[in-house]
Amino acid sequence: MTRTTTRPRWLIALALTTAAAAALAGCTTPAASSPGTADTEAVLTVGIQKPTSLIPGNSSGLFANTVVGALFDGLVDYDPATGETRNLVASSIETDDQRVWKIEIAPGWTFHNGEPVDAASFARAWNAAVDPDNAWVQSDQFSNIEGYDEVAPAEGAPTAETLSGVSVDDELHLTVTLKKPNSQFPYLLGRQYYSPLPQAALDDPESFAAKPIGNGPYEMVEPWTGGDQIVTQTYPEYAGEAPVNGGVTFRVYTGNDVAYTDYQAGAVDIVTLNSADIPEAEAAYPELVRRSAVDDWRNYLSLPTYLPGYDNPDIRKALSMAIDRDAIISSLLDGQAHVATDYDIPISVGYRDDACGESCTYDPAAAKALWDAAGGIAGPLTVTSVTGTGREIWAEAIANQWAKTFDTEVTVAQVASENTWSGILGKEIESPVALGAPGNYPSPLDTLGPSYSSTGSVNGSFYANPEFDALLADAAAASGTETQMDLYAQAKDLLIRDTASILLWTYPSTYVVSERASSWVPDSFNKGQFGSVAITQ
Amino acid sequence: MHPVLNRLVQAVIVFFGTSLLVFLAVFALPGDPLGTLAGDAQLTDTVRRNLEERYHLNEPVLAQYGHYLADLFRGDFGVTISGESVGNILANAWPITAQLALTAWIIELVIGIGLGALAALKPGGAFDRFATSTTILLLAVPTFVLAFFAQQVFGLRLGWFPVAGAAAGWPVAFLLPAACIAALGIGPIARLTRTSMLQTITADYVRTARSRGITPWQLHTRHVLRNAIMPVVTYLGLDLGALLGGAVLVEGIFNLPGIGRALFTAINTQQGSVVVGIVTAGVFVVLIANLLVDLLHRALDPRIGKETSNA
Repeated sequence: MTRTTTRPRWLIALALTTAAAAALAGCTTPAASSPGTADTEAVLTVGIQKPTSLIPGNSSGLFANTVVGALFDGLVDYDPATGETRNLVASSIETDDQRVWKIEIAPGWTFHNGEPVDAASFARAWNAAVDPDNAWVQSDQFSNIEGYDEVAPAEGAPTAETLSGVSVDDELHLTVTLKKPNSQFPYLLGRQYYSPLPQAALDDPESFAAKPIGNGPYEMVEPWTGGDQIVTQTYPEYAGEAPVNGGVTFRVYTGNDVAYTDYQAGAVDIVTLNSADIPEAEAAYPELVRRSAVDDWRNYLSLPTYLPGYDNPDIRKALSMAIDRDAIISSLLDGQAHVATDYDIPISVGYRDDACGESCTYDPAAAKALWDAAGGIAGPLTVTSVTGTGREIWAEAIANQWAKTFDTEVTVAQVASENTWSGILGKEIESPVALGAPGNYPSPLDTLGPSYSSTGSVNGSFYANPEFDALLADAAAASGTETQMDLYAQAKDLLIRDTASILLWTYPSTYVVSERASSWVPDSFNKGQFGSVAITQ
Repeated sequence: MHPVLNRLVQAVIVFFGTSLLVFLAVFALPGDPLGTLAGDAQLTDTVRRNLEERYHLNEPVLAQYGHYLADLFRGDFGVTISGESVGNILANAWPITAQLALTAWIIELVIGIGLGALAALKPGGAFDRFATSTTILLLAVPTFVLAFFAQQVFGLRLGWFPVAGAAAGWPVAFLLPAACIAALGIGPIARLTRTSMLQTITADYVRTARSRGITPWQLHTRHVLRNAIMPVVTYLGLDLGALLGGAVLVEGIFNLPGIGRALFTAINTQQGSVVVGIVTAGVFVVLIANLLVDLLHRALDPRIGKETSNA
């Protein structure tokens, strides 16, 4: 850009920015307190991307969960250190058979409009979530509750309006009856979609959708109709641990990269980093980059086990052993990932650091021997990557390593992200696919159920093993964490034996925070936790 | 036919043509609009079926277009698949884009005409050569390169402007993105102004005016520039389309919640009704702008109206 064209703009800009700065100074935090002291009135700004909905039962994805997590509190949350559930709105959750759950609700919780949080408010929320007329996206999460099929039948008209398995015993007592035992049910109760709803949500659904009334630490200040920020303030009557700041403003960006640019300009306190921006952020702000303490993302390759060759566990193991994970992590992933060692994800309770063994260890000679003994797969092979995910970089590396080890041709193909799952499950993509998935709740079932059970919704490898399904059912019916985890470990051992998919690596979510919000620590398990951030000036 | 009526008839034809084309184009995109809504949630068949019925996704594309038009004639722009009112989205987004385009227009106009008029004072002189090379340079740099560059230098490094969002309000938040869009228009406007001024300067009436001994300033502003500006006015009308196109790109980079960003999101999430709403509204804006340019032409040059009515 040349001088002549910029000079007039700068003169105007100079005048205008001075004026704007003066105007802005008037509406930011009150006069500077001494450095280092926390300002309980100060508002935190957090960068997000546009949530599809702020209604707990109708929203999904990290950014919606972050906002909903700040507005609503569920019966339980997860211990930030271990991931195990602990009571939040509930005062006790008990079961004898993992099927009938007696839930007692702690008194004193209220919604932002003053309505009490009671047993009825949970029943109301869950019934609304399964109501076919609402067609909320999380309906499936309630499908194990008795009466689900009467309220939301797969075919035909509903024969009931409310879940028979959810009964309000009195003001603070709730009994939930499941169709099948599920020892991991408390983990589900901590998910945003199991949050309670006030009566106001049903009386005026339209205004509730724009300005949800929750029971969490923060309340909406104004309705959100898709604008570029969602403004909240601390809810003074919050029954949990009172926030030490004045509120959270969520700023809506088109992408993490734009949010990071705005962070660099000092306009936002907490943003999620794209992996491409991590090295630069680490160099520029070494003290301000934050990672979740436990890896909450995993990468893996699904395998078309319905095809000859891929149907042989030895071939699958050989493919796995021919990948030099350490080399890819250090050269292509900036050392940000860790070699995967188990079939769930590190945030799961019961994740093992050493389970995968030789199957996940690079040994090209052994891999080739195993490959040859099993007859190999007639080339050329393909690895499919999903466009826009950045995974093609390492998919290419894996293709090269396979080509070298097995002395065959390996190409990399691309699939559009919105067609990935329909393509895999429709058996249209007849090759291994480079996939990534976040952990949702810290139970092994979160990964094992959907990805590997024969009825799993994202079972991209078409793994079907009655023995494995039986172990998951046993774990669901067992009492005691130790027994459950032992059964899950046995189930995971079957996946390792069969190389049900190819484990690659796990990695943490990475964020960068501003100086004034530097006390924020990412929580691997709970989303939308900002109450403990003391904002220093 | 009266020119305004003429334009209106054109507008109706253009409206049906573009909305149908856009509707078909969005429909032809691969993927599943419900998939975007669901994110990482698994939709049950019941939920999927109910959503498909609610948004007519299970019907043929022409039937969907029919529903859309029927709603539109009732004054209802429809809702997105996540339940947001499209009318609301448009109402929130248009003011942002209007401010952006207007700012870009002003920048184009002031800098473009200024450069062209000054260059025309001494054709072949140092300033003329400088202005020519500058405008070529501006035309050669792709808008997104310019936008990232400007964002890094004037937003981040120097900190003169906000780098993202419209929170700082007009004009501060809009100057930088508007300048990036305007960069494309400055060149043509400067060239047009220069050429047209050089032509006008040799016209008889200018010689007459000069012989009457008026000051060079009066000569240039009152006689030369006013008459030379006609082609520029035409260009400005046509340029609005380009400005809106630039807005799609620049709004994304600068995180301005205008129609460009809404359109980008809507295409990404396959929300036909939003895309059609935005595009047709855009078509109307361009048509209206062209109508205004016509009227402005008439005001500036009374001969035009006479020619048309005689024809």
